[in-house]
Amino acid sequence: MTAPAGPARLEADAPLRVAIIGNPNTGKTTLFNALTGLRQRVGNFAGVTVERVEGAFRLPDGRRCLLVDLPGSYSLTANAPDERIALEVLLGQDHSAPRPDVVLVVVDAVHLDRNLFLASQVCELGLPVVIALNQVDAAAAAGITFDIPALTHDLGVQVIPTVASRGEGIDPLGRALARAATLPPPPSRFALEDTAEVAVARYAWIGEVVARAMTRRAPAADTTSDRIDRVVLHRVAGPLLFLGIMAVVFQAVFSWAAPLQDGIEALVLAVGHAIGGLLPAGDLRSLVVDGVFAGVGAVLVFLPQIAMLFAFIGVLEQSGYMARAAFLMDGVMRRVGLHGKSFIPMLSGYACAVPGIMATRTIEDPKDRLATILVVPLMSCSARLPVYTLLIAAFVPAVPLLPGLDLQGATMLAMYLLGTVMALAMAALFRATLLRGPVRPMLLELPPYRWPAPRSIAVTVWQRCVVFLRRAGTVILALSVVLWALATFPRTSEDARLPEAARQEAQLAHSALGRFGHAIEPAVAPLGYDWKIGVSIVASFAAREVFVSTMGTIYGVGDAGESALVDELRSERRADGAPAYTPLIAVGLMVFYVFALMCVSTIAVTVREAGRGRLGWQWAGVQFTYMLALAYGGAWLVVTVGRALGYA
Amino acid sequence: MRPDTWLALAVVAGAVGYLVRRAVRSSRARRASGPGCDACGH
Repeated sequence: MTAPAGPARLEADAPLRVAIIGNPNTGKTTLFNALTGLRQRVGNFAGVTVERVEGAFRLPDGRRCLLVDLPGSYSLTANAPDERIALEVLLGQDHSAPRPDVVLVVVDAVHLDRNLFLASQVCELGLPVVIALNQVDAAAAAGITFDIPALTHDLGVQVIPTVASRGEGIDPLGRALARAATLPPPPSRFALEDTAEVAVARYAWIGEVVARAMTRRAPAADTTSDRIDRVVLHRVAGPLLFLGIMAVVFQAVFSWAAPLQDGIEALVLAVGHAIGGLLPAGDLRSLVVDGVFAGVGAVLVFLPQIAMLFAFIGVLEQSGYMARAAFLMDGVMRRVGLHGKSFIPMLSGYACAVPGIMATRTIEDPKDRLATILVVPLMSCSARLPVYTLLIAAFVPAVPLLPGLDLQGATMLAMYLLGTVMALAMAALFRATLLRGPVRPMLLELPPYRWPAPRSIAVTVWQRCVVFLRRAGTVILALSVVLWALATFPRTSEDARLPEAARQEAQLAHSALGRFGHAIEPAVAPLGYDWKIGVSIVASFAAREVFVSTMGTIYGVGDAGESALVDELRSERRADGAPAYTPLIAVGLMVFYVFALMCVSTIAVTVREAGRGRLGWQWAGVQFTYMLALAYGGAWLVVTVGRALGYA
Repeated sequence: MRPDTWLALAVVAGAVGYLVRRAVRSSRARRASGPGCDACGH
């Protein structure tokens, strides 16, 4: 590796391009957010940022600064895809972005010696460098003090102490960046070649620098994090605690959100009644009440669940527990042939498979990475939540099981665990067949526990709620309108002598939706589903939540709310008088949704991350097909075994 | 057909147009800069 020529000559009015780099989990993105005022995702574990992110702000001298946040890296010898992204930007090999004018290296003040390895490599790239000595508050709490002038002198670059999470040191850092652009690059001490001799010499030099510039009080034998870890990472207590935390999360998502859900439902009902009352009876009123309010309203009531799920995920990410969960699962991961690092992308999949698949960029081995990409969508994402919640509320009684956990919460937990267990089983299968290869040991840095920042979690929850509402007001609204039309036309010749319910049923069966449903009914009949469920499943390939809105439209709950939909599902009968929905069918349906890949975005991200072009499409095809087979087979097995055991 | 039926059908046509335009745009955007998730904003 050779250092290319320095940055292009700066024009007076051109924005200053600054790249942020540093070891994983040093607070680069927190610093990026503090400088730019943006709200990129942060977390207390390595590998949160896996792609280049840009933001702009004004330097104290009034000049515009374009800040590029890069994925974390331990050295400039890139192994993983996310590390290669950082290296390409710094070397000017990323054709989509010019080489930066200044590099901002973020180092963790608590682990200065280890962090200086990357910093010293960056100093040899021939670019002006500024070092942000971040988390100096945590270092002070650990009894570490710094001689900043000595550090600046030894490194030959400006060193600015910061506490990014509290915005401390941001103004001096801005001034340092503006000044760095006018200074020459730091002196080169070592060759950039990655040989053992160079690494040894570099570490020796770092040792001397640290000895001069850092004073450490005798470290306490036992930190708070150590004491917590003795329980959290205990061989028996650790996994039990993990299960307990997951149980609390899903019970809370299910039952704690109920009062808020009732409030939203009441609001939707009030607005629906008001608007419905203003319109005369006819197709327009039917469109508004049976299409828009039945469809969008049925999905909208799940907003509290979504907010609560993301709040819990935020707490787990920011506290440092995510890394512990990955550590606990390392043994299991190795047994199924996956790298321990794979568990963090899988946990991210609980929120959404797209960032989960992106997070696999931290995995060096291509086969490990591909196996993880293929199984991440089996982790139940937030879009499945409305489907689970509707079916559990309708068919699972709230029988108390343990203090704070009832059967509804346990069923929700079971669905999430089923996805996780199947993801591990499929990973084992892929690693033993298509993606055979050696299992590599995991080196994982356990960050210290930190109190989650309430503002940061509130911002994350707010962002997710806005996205959910926007989706309800656009895609789901449009799909609900289209589904209403398909359920309304063509019209049947109504027999006025028939009761209203029978006329509606005849119209639905005669409609385009009904005809399509009856055509596909033989395909879903082995799963115990009627044509209405079949149609809802097909519609939800556009978006999983559309299952709920389609149900709302089909059952014409109109402005009567989600409770009315639950009542409709419970009382729905087949032609032979048997209940159309039973607890067994509801469980089978949930199993179908646990396994099925019904997300265009996930397919697209798999195509891109599994290998561009035909290879990416092939792997996406494998992923879609095996998940559909699992969904169909799983739902069929539940219904068949359940019936054999005497359940309806 | 009654006027309100025409109006309802116009809304349906608008919804179909929106979905088609969105599908075309997102396929172009995905080719250009990679996918994002509508459900969570990632």
